[in-house]
Amino acid sequence: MSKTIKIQILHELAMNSAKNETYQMGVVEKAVDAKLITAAFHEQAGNEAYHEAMLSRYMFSQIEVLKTFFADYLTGGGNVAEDATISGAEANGVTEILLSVSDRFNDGYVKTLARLSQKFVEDRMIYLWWHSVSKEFAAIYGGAAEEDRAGIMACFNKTAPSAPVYRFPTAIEIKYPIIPARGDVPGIITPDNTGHVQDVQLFSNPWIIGIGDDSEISYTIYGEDNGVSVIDDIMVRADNPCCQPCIGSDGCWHLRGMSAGFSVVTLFSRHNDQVFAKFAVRVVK
Amino acid sequence: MSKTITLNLNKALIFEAVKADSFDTARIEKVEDPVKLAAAAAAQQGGEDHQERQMLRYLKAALGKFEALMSEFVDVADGSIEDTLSSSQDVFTVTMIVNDRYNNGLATPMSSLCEDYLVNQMLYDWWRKSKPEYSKNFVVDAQDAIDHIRLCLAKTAPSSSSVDYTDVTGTVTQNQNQTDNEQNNQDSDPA
Repeated sequence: MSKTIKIQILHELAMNSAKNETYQMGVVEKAVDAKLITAAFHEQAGNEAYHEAMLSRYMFSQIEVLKTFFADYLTGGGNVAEDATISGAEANGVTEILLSVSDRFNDGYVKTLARLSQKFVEDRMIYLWWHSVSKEFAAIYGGAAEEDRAGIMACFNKTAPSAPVYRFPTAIEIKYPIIPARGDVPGIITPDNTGHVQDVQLFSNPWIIGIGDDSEISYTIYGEDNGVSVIDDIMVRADNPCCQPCIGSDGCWHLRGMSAGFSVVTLFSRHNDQVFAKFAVRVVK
Repeated sequence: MSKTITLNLNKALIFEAVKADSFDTARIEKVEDPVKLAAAAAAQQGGEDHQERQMLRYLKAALGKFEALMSEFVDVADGSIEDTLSSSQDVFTVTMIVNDRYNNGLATPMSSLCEDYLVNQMLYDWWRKSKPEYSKNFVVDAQDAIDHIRLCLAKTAPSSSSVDYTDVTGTVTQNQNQTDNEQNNQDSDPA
């Protein structure tokens, strides 16, 4: 099994972060030495068209670098390719990255992954910005980007394998015999209608089989997840030996008429008290 | 994105400031030493045609230096700094196309500082021949004016983004392919 993760990189936020960080650096530099006024002006990534163009180039290239980190964690059909969004989402200023990952990816980390991915792109942008101006500042943001990368990798730690479980039925539905309700008398008692029905009422609406007949009892069981791998643990009991539940040659439960009489027949789960069904039988010659 | 700054300057005001300054200095010299009467008359600038022409030349040179110094701050584009200085018009303007993050409130201080720079630079040129030592004061003043003009051109903080960091989120979708297969097996399972 696999999961699909969708994370978004917001372009405006990335550009703004780069501008903010470089603005602050420039202000500090000016304060330290007034001679640096002109230098600081140019260090501050601003709204100049060529600054925007540089930042844009950094951003889109680093988004691609980010995507390569995910290569080791992809499952399924290598669905990083589902990033058809690069072209489509640019208009909205968002890059959507879709990842098909192991089912054991911890859902709790998806927001962490999104934010660290965004921050990685930003830190790398600022790193590249300073790279041509100040190696010292560049190193600071290069280091921050490395930390982001380590965090991104850590998000993909697999959770423990899920424990194997036996899945027992949570509901049963009789398919055969068909004993419809007659007036106020229901045909078959299941956990849903036990509240207002007495066993004795069943005798007003029995299933009739002959002595020596071998009649199949058919049912469907349901489990959690709508019946995934549910285990059949249904047993059948007759209250009166006039009829005898048995396993037929087809492997299904059968009811065999032994002698004339009445009986209540109960189908029940050996593991779940809430799963049962009852009906009445009259055995005739 | 960019903004246009227009500095409105007055040639007559600038000339008047230069004349007043040189007049004052020469007068003090005369008082100290009457022998210098003739020298002082020549040192006092103004009125004479040749002095007016000199001043116009100094002004053009000073304005040229100012524009060259601003080249670091104006937009990278042709015609991003221009002036309308001429010999016939008193009022002239300097137009600069600057970054969008220029602080509008500093346009007027910048205009005053620009005039101060031009006057000091002209006085330096004026005194350079007759009193070289004295002229150095004006270099210092002109440099001071330029330093403050540079401060006027500092970038303001970037405008805040319309999205917040908390807007960065991710989602997980459970893929159903394999569970569908198991469901199919179950459908054929009834006992």
